[in-house]
Amino acid sequence: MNMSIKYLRAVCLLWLMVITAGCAGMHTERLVIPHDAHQQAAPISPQRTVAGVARIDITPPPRRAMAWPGIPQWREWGRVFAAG
Amino acid sequence: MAGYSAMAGVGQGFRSRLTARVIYIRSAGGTAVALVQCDLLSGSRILHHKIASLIAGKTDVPARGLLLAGTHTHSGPGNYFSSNFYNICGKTRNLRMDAYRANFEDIVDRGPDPLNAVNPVMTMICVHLLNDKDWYRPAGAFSSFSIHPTAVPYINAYYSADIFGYIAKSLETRLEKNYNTPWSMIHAVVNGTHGDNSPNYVTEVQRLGHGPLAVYRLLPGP
Repeated sequence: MNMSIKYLRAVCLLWLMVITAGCAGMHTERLVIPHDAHQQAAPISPQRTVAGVARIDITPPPRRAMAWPGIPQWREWGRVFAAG
Repeated sequence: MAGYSAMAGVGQGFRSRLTARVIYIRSAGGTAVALVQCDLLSGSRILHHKIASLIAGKTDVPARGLLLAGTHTHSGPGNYFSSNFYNICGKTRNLRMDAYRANFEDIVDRGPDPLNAVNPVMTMICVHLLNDKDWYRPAGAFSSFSIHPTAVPYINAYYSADIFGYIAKSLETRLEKNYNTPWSMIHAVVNGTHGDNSPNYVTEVQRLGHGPLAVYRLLPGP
């Protein structure tokens, strides 16, 4: 069999394994649904509604360009080949 | 980048900060609720349960009182808990009306003007707080609006709150200035239902940016 087809098949199989593992991990993750433990807490002010607002920065830190774990994005391939 | 298949795993910086905005309300004797808006692609049941679990011991907000809604920015993080599902299956199309016209010219011509066929309504809840001088001042607003809010094109490697960031910030800035609020106003605006066609990058985004103030003026004042 042509080597390039073999290589392509191996890469496809590897990706499929990664995807399967990712999906399986997502579904088997154990979730803890909390009980309403604080329902009996005394109100801060019985006379009026209590309200508050908040704003939180959730910008993530920059990430290196990676299409898949361990596999660089297309724009990175040039550097990979250049590095040998 | 969530939903950008070609840009999966890329986040080289930010164009505008991503934000989570929270409005907490508890009536006398009632159950506390937290309305949370996130500059994420969407809410998530897994994320919702995780947050509910984390805050259970520290706040009086029960799981059923926690609302977690996203703005559907495609320029935010996705792949929750390392799942690449959306980036594999959810190739974003980011359709334009021109493409729709080209493909379905007959349908468009027989129907209403496509640019006016859908006119979503912005629904807004406003929260006012009493300050130490017994004056009520606006503190926050929670709005829902139905649009596919992707004005930033898919060739993008920088985080951005996209259209909803503009809608949120415009009202915050105006109300802080108009009412001289002693606190930072927040406008948590979340995505309702949406199709998959994007608004015009300039004119429609500007219209949406001014829209919330018009809605706010319809509400009873402080």
